[in-house]
Amino acid sequence: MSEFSLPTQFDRLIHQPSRLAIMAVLAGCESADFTYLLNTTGLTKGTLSAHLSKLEEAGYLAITKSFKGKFPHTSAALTSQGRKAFKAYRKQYREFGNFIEQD
Amino acid sequence: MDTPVDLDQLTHQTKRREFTDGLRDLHIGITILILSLLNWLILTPTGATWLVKAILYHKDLTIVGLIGFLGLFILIIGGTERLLERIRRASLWRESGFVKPLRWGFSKVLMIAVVFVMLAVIIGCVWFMTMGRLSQEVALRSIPAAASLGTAVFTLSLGHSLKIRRYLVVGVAGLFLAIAIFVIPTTFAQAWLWLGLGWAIILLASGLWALTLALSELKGGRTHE
Repeated sequence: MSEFSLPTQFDRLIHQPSRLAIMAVLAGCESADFTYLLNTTGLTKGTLSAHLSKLEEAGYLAITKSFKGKFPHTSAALTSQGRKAFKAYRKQYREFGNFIEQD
Repeated sequence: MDTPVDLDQLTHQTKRREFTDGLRDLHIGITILILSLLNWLILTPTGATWLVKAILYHKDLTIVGLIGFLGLFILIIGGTERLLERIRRASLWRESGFVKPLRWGFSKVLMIAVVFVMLAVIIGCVWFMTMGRLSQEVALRSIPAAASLGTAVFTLSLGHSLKIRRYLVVGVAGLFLAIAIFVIPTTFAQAWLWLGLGWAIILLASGLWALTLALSELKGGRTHE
């Protein structure tokens, strides 16, 4: 078991599918707003908010709240800690995937 | 969300977004056009003589003018960047959400490969010139030709990695442009002008085509991307 990590050893905070989707989207940009995250992940507003809060509490992402005209605007961005964690997760995910394909 | 997550697909979809509406192509196309026209003006005998005379006789004024022009150019680039963001927020991405692209989203390996290809072409041509197999004019033209080749390689790689088909067409057009610049007998100044005009036309066509598609998708009620 030295070549790859078992899924039980994965970062649980990221391994949850909804949070994984959020992290994967944010890994491709500097920041994205709430509407874009809603559209790409397919989550509901409440669920997305809850997952964003959890990731923010862990220090994986930073949330910025502002106003665009009269409307509130929320955007999220991965922190450097979040990027590192996602990179590490992605590596484990690929190595495990490769192992399963070889088997 | 219980379905498996395709990490690469989601990340690439977000990276691709910056290029799907064609505005970035238009922005870069216009910037290249301005730069190539300036380059051409400075490299033509008239332009070069005027610049040398200006530096000799009105040194301080020329320096102030050049700094002012540089500042204006940076302002224009920054201003169009803001304009691009406004258009996206107000219209193109209003329904689908706003994404700020990665500041440096390209692979370092790709950038090194592009520089290596460009240097290899230029050094190769200079070597052939010293051996007497290439004329000085052709060797000089290898610089803008290599610039076009490098940009084409970069665009092809971007199109391949992010699965943007139009960039493959743009890249191939850039390769043909590189060959044309190298082969067609022109002066060094004209070669730079063709490089700028060529890439500006390619990028403006690509941008307008993508923008038309994005607008028709928007009109049809579908979310962009």
